[in-house]
Amino acid sequence: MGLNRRDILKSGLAAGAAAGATLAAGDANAVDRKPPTKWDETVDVLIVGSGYAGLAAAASATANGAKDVVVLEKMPTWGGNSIINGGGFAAWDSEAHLRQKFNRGEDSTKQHFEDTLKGGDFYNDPELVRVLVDNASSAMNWLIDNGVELKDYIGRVGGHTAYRDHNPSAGGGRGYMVILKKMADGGGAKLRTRNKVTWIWRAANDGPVLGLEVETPKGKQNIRARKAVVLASGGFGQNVEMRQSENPALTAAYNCTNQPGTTGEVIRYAKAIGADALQMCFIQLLPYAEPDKGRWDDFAFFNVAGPSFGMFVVNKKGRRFVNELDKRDVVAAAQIATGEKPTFGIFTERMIPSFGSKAKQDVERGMSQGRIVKGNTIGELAQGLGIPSATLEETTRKLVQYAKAGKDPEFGKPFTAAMMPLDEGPYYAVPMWPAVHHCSGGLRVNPRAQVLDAFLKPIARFYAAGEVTGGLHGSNRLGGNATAEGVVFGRIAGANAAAEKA
Amino acid sequence: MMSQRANQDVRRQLAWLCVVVACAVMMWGTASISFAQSKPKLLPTAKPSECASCHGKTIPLPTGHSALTNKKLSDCSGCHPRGDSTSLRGKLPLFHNHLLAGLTCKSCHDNPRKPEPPASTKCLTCHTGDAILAATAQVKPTNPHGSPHYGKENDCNLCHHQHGKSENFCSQCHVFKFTVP
Repeated sequence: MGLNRRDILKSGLAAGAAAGATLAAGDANAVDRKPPTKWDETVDVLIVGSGYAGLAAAASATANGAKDVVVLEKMPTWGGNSIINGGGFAAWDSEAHLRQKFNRGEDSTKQHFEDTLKGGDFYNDPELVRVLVDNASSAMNWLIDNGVELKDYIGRVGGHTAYRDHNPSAGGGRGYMVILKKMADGGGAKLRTRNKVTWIWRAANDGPVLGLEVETPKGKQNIRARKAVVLASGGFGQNVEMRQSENPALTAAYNCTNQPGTTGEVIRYAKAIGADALQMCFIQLLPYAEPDKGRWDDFAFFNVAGPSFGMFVVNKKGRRFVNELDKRDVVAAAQIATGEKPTFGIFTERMIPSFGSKAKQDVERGMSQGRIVKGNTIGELAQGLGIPSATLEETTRKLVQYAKAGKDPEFGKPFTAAMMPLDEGPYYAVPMWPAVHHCSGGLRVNPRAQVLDAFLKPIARFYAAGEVTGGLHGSNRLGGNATAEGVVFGRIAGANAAAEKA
Repeated sequence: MMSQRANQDVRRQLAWLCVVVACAVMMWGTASISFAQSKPKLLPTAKPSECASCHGKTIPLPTGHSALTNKKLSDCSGCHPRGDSTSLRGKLPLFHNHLLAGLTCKSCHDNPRKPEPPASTKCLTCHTGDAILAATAQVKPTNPHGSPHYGKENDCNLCHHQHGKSENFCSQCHVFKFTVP
């Protein structure tokens, strides 16, 4: 009854492919589709997508006076990637002051700004980065004030030079999403699942965006937005044809951490009505994913957070091959260059409390599911992993010496006071392998979250936020910056959409 | 006498009429089997113990299966106990269970002749969230009703389809080998 997820997935891919084919062929009919003269429904603000950005926009639009706010979600479940992700949120500070509580050194918006630009190889739009770092902390406080509970943890993840990775106390991204949904629901926003956008209506080539064509369980409907349309529909990681059209190396052989709905067709519709897009080829691989299906599960979290506490990563020969604290594109490229799937993140018993108060339970659960392997000694661990124990012992011995000397002559890993010695077991290992994770490129927006056209002029009544946009992260997104982006820019888009005159 | 004979005649005529109608129905049934084979009819008037009314002649019961006349869901478990290889869990479109348990189309659909998918709240009028969660608490590797993403709030129809094969919604990302009734 109704659509099942396979139908949705198929239709998403098919529609994406069809739209791509249409545009590639330069079929003017597609671009010249005339807006309807009669609308099936009229609302104030129409939001596409129900992840961080979509729900933050809904919460913010209703809080700023928009009466009739509708969130359209094409999948049968709400939340997109946001509800299944790890939940890392990069902010230099928050009212929880976790960095200070754990005595993890200094940080500032300036440092976060510089890390983000460096992490993106300076391809980033500095104006957008400025908005992110200046508002991440207040966005986190907005969530805390509305009920988000944070994990008793503050981490430093790849590419960041400070401890600024905040996580919800339970359930990864769900910890924020449940609260954002409560905020959106409380404001009166209406979330509709199984509602798939099939076109964006714009009045003429230089006119405002009017509304959307939507495939609903009851058939096709045209919905008018009196104030604005906000796109928060995410990336295109699961659309192999689309990602290969931007980066041919990312074949179907790559796993993908995303939920199946990230098929990117909304980006194509936006381009078709004149929106500009940029840096679409910057598609990030997540080094830490579960190797079989590419999931970011609870145990992959140890590989994300581990390096900040001294975790090291080895290949199947038992050798290190990268600076574990390097940014994601570097680590992923090094993993692929090992030529042998998978690689292993190794941590010790002593690090576990630093991963949060429930980490011990997660480790036990990971072991019972076969995702985490334990060894009382390094030799025992190597045996459990089926890799040469003499080499792994030598690797560990060397690393202990490097840590004592405070210098890693092989890969240049920076040692910090938070990192723990590796000379004492028991030891644990979590297999990891890169999977397509995040589309850094997307629609071009300005700091007000307005979508820009090919002449860099805002398209009236048209906003976008989150992974559907591009330019903020440059060539490589730092961990925790996307969650912060979704909430920060979703919040801005919602407020600006609400402020439009109906 | 006359009136008795007249009654008999009427009865005889009625009996013939029934035979003719039955034949017509059977022929029509035969004629429509090519369609019925792939997609059984979902007749709002069908009784759960009368397979033929929806399935026509292609009743998917094995040869020698006892007649279902007046059988209830509880009667099935005698031969098809849970956990046994003969268990019907995950093998029978779920609305059969509901009909055999005494529900009708109207229990779920406001207008069975023009049915719309019911919301999960309809399911939860009989099944309670806590009871469902408790019933699957021991399922390995994890409780399918205690999703870390959605808790107890998932739409029942993500997995449990009434009129089609149920599916393991979690399996699009996870390696969970759940049997989904």
